[in-house]
Amino acid sequence: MSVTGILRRALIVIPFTLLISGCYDRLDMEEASFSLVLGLDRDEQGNLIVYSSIPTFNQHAKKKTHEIVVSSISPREGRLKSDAYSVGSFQPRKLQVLVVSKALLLHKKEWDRYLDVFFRDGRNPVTSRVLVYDGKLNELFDYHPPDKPILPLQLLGMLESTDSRAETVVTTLQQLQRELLDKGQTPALPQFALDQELKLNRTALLDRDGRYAASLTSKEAMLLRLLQKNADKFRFTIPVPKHLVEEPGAANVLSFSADQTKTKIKVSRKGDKFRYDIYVHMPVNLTEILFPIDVVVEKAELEAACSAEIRKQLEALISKFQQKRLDPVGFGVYARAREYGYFKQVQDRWVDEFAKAEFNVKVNVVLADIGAIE
Amino acid sequence: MRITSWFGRKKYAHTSKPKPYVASPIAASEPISDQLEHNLLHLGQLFTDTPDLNIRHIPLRDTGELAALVYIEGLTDKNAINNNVINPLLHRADGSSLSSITVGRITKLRDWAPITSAILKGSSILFIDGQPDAFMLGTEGWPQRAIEDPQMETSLKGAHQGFVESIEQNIALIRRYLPHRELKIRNHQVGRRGDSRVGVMYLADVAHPEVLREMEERIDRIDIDVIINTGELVELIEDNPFSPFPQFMLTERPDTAASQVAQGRIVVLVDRSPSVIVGPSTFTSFFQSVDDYSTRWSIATFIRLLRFFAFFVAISLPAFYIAITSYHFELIPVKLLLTIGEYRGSVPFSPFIEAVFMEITLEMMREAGVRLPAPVGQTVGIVGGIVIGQAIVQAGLISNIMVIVVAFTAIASFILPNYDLVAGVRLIRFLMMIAASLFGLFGIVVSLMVLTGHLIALESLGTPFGSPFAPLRLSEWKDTFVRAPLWKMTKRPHSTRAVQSTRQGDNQPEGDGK
Repeated sequence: MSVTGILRRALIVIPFTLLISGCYDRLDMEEASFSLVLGLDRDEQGNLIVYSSIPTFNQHAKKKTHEIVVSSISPREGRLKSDAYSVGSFQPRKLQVLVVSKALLLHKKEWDRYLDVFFRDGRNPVTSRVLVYDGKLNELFDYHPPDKPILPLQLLGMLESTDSRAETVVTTLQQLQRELLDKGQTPALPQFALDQELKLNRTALLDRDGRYAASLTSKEAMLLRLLQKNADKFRFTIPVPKHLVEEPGAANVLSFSADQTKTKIKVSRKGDKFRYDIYVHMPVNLTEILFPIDVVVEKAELEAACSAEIRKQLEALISKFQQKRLDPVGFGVYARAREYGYFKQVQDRWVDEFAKAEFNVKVNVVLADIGAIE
Repeated sequence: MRITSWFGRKKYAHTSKPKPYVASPIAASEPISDQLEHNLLHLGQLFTDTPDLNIRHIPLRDTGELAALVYIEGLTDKNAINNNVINPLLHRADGSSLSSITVGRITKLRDWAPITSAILKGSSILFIDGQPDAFMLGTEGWPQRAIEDPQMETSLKGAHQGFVESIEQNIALIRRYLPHRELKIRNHQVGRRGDSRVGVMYLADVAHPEVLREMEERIDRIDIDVIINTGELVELIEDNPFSPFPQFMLTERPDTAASQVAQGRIVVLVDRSPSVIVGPSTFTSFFQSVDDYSTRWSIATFIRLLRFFAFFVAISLPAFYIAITSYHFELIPVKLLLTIGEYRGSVPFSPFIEAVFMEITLEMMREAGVRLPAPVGQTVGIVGGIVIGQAIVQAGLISNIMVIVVAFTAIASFILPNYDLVAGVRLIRFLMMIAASLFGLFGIVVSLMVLTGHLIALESLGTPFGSPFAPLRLSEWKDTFVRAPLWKMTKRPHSTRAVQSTRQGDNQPEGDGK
């Protein structure tokens, strides 16, 4: 048979063979109950409680979401149980946000095994954001303010706006998995709480075992992002030394925005001690000064003062990391890149090595723009 | 018969000889008699039940012989017969009677076959007693339409003359654009009963002789009663009759036809039909319109890109909607998902049923609009607009989003300049929808691949239909997705297989760019 003859036959046969296997995974959108927010919490006895929030597509329904709470031994079993409560077929395919309660992170050993289902089952998304909730998850899933959009949109919006100011980290499931597995790094997650309203102003740091260890404030998170080099737009409000303030009683505070920040991190080793040279170049635009000063005349002093303050804050943050044995920046990644052989030897106790490391921070603030009024 | 051969196409053999013309057996090649009575008797036998056959007896003034003028009323020009034939024969005595006839064309005929055929085609025949020859007088004249704007292919800047139903006029319309002696026309007759005159027009020093021979052979092979319209001829000569895509372009614009001839293509005109065949055609030629060449090239390029975009939208948008909402809703951004979900939530049908229902409604409305007379046609618009646009959504039968999808698809298919291509697109759209409802995006991708493969495999007159994409000729992309400035297109397209490839010299205007 000629080649075209074979092709022609194949063209006829292929559609029919496809028909045999088709349709099996078809699920019309309106027949699915897709959970947009999934919550993992533990009760007093230490059992897993799975929360989910599902949008309801019924124009007659008053409430726009449907919340399901089940107690189960694993997230996958939770899904099966949730299916009993949901109107349509329960689907985590469009999961936007995974909320993990702080209590679970603190008390449950190896809680990260719960994430296994997201990576083992290909239908589950790995780009959902992971957030830490400081409190009981039932408060969160019962929170339906009339003046706000539904919970997933609220959380995503909050996360996006906070991220645009670099005031917290954004961690997807996949990224969290990587940070958990990477021996040269410890994970960081955005942390929010319900205090009358939802507020996202902390960043939770997890230790080597994935347990909750500490939280960062917005300002610290900004410096963390600066060290992580994954943001370059920052808004700082910092105090300056008193001697620059001529008028007594005035607040010694100024604000600036830094849009093209560059961070360089160099690692070297002396014996069994790592040494990091961190250089931050920061052209800034002044946006606010609360004391009288001739910026043009005292430019050099002002730059030096700002550099010193940022440096002080960076050093404080790093020593906090060292104290708590946390490496959310991933200094170990640098060590592995530059000092591979030695890192391999110490990688299992990297955080202790990190705690011993010496840091030398240099900050160079340059006044690029002093503002429009002068 | 093997099932595969049913899908196969017939290969045209180059060696085949055209079949000889077989006339009606009654008067094959019998010569006429020199006796007028015998001839009229024979004529009466040939033309029974032909009330419109007119026989006028005329005594010739100069010799006194009896003559008879035979013609069919309605097919002949009454004025010409009265003033140029009968009047001089009856009243003018100077010289011989024949030389007093003042029509342009007089041919001597001896056999009955050409005589009957000439009568039926509007000539009048003069029999003279005692003469062994009859005279065919060119007195054709039948009801004709005036030359009007083309109906299907309107243009903003192009000429406002469209082809009409007479081949002579159509040839004249093209000749006006190309008054060159290399513009040749070869006549063929198609149809045993219809006996249509089919003219193959080409530029002798540009068109490829092999392509021309292929076209002529295909026309000569046709053995059929009658061809009413050009579309019928196309179906008999195209390369792959099972394809939903047209492989010959049909146009009713003389300017389009002339520009295609000038590019080295061949134009086939069919008598009594107001559209002509252009071949060999390529896929891209269905995206070109005359206006492209008279608007600024940057704007024409933009419109070209719109058309290609519209082609894909018209083929796959409803299918895409089905695939996304039935299989892959995780691909929809979450806010859009919530919006779509809100509308879909109250619709009782699955997306596929919804889409098929709306698309069929659209196709019915379009078909209704085509067939209805203009004043009634407006009603279709109102009924369709109100019923489909509003009521169906308010009743909760169809979602808003689906209405938008259908409307967008319809507009996309209106952008495409060629009706035959759009017809193919409309059909394929449904196949795509079925594929999408069975296999989701996977089905769409596979369908698009099969479609691309099919388009590449198509041929038009033995030349590749996909040119210049497959086979790839980058230098000819100047008239595909983009319409390059005219002075850039110095070569004729390869797909025409023109033997003279240079189209123009260096015409780039002097200026900054040069």
